[in-house]
Amino acid sequence: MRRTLRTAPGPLAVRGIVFFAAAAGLWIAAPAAFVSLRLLLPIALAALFAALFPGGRVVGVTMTLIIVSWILSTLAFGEPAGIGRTFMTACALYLTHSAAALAAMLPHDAIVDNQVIIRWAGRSAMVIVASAAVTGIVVLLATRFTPTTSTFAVLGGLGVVAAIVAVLAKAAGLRRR
Amino acid sequence: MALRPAAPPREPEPAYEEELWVPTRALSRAVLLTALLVLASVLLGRADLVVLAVPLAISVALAMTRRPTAMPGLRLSTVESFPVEGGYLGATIEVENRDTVGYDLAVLRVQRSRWLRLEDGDRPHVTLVPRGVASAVEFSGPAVRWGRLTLGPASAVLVGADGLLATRAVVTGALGVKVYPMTEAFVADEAMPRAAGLVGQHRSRRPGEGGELAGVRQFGPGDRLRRIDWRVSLRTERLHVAATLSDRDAEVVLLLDLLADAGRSEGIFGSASVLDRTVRASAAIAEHYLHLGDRVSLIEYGSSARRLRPASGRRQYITVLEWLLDAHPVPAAQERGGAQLAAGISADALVVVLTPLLDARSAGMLAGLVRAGRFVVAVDTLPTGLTVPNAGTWTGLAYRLWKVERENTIGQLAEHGVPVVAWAGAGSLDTVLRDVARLASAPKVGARR
Repeated sequence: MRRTLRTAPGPLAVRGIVFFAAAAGLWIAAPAAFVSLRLLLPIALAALFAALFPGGRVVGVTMTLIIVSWILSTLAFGEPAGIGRTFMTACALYLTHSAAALAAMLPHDAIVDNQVIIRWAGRSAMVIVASAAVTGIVVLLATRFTPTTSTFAVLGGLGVVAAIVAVLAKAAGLRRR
Repeated sequence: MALRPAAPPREPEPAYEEELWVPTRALSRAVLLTALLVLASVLLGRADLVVLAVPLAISVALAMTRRPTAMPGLRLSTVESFPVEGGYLGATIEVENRDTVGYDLAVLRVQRSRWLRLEDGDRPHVTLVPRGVASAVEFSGPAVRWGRLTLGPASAVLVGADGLLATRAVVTGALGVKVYPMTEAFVADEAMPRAAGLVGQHRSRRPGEGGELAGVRQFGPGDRLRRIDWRVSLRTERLHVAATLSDRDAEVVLLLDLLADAGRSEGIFGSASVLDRTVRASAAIAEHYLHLGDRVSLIEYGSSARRLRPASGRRQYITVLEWLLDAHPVPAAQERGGAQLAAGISADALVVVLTPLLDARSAGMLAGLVRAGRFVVAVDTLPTGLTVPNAGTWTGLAYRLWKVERENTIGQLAEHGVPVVAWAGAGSLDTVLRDVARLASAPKVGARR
């Protein structure tokens, strides 16, 4: 109780962003057949755990839930993966990750300089704008943006896999050196 | 024949900077999920999964381009040089970015003594540290109790690359802060039992209240209005006073009974323990007599048996305050008697014993001092309104019995010529000092000089 009372507004706001981003991601990615008020409770619970423990594995689990939910709704239920819905899910996924990364570093009772949160918001907006541009290029280049197999997806995917391997090697090099 | 090098081979220097910055769980999460999404998109032939991975991949790529590597600088400092309890103390934690990229944030913490009530000092502070800039977080608050307090160590955890990299805690050393006791207002009758120097025959060389003119100087704080030299003041258009030499040469010995402590110390704004009252009263009495030009010395009645040589003047007052900072009650199994203590005290000195009379040896010491012919005044430093923890049904009765026994001891001491007066600040000692002065003027038989 005493710990809760000491909670400062800055960390609380960042954890609030984690909660709303995770809840929005789960809601948007959920199959339409399941979308009802009763779904709100498990979504809120999963998002709450992510907000309460931003430094734990629960954030990764929540993000995996969003992805699994997305794959299920588009693959098992055959829902169309519209560009708007896909991008919104991607943004929610990224914001959950980014806000949780920030919240994990802020002690719950810390007095946070406003500039820290403003700068974080600016960086997040920049990433989202850049992602929108990349997504636009993907849409322009792809002849058909549907959840079916396409040569472009395979080639693009392989390109990003190569990039990811490079990043992984770079990140791993941090520990090895 | 192969020659061996005389010096041992140099060991490779530990790479602190590389080890300082470590990846956070967010980095592994972002990389793992991005890889999974891309692999799934390849395996399932789904371009929408690539779109889901794009922001995560871009954020990791952008973050890795501005990866910090250097060791940050951290410094803890305080600006106060002569803080008195109740006064405000300022502290600053400064974190310096020596890197080529900015840090996202720095989480700064400072540990401090419980008597330093720095505003929001018990909370971590998070601040931005741009490239090539030193960010500072300032704390301010009152030091609520005298003593040698500690400020620090301060620690900083720095976060860079959009929360994907963080440092281990960078820690500074701790600072020692001396907080001097606040002297309660104390004024005493000038009736001293016996001065070493006789007025009119040997004038003192020390400035103070007296009749011998030492010169004319500018008016300063603490000067009496009747000392103003109006002719010089009118001529120079600035207030001047006639400085005189002290014609008193009395020695005041403050004997601090540190055998036991009692009561709860809550700082300057709360209740005071025996030790608090002893130290504050000692500082007040010392200040008063040193201001008058007398010599003051201090003796500790406890296991450490410290002693401060008699001296006068402003410097001695600072020395007294420093000396008092190290006063701590330490129970001692064997303690010197009054006769042994009296051997080191001048026969003409006024001995002010600050004692809570909690230990039976304290009363014995007082009686021994009087028997040795010293002029003794006992100041009772036991706090009023002392509460006793209830340990059983007999606690109240036992406490009342103890109080009666203590009053009996005080009465017996009075019969032996030791006036015991409760410490109450200004004027506490006036009545008893007059009694002691009267006793001193009476002829004494067998007093050791």
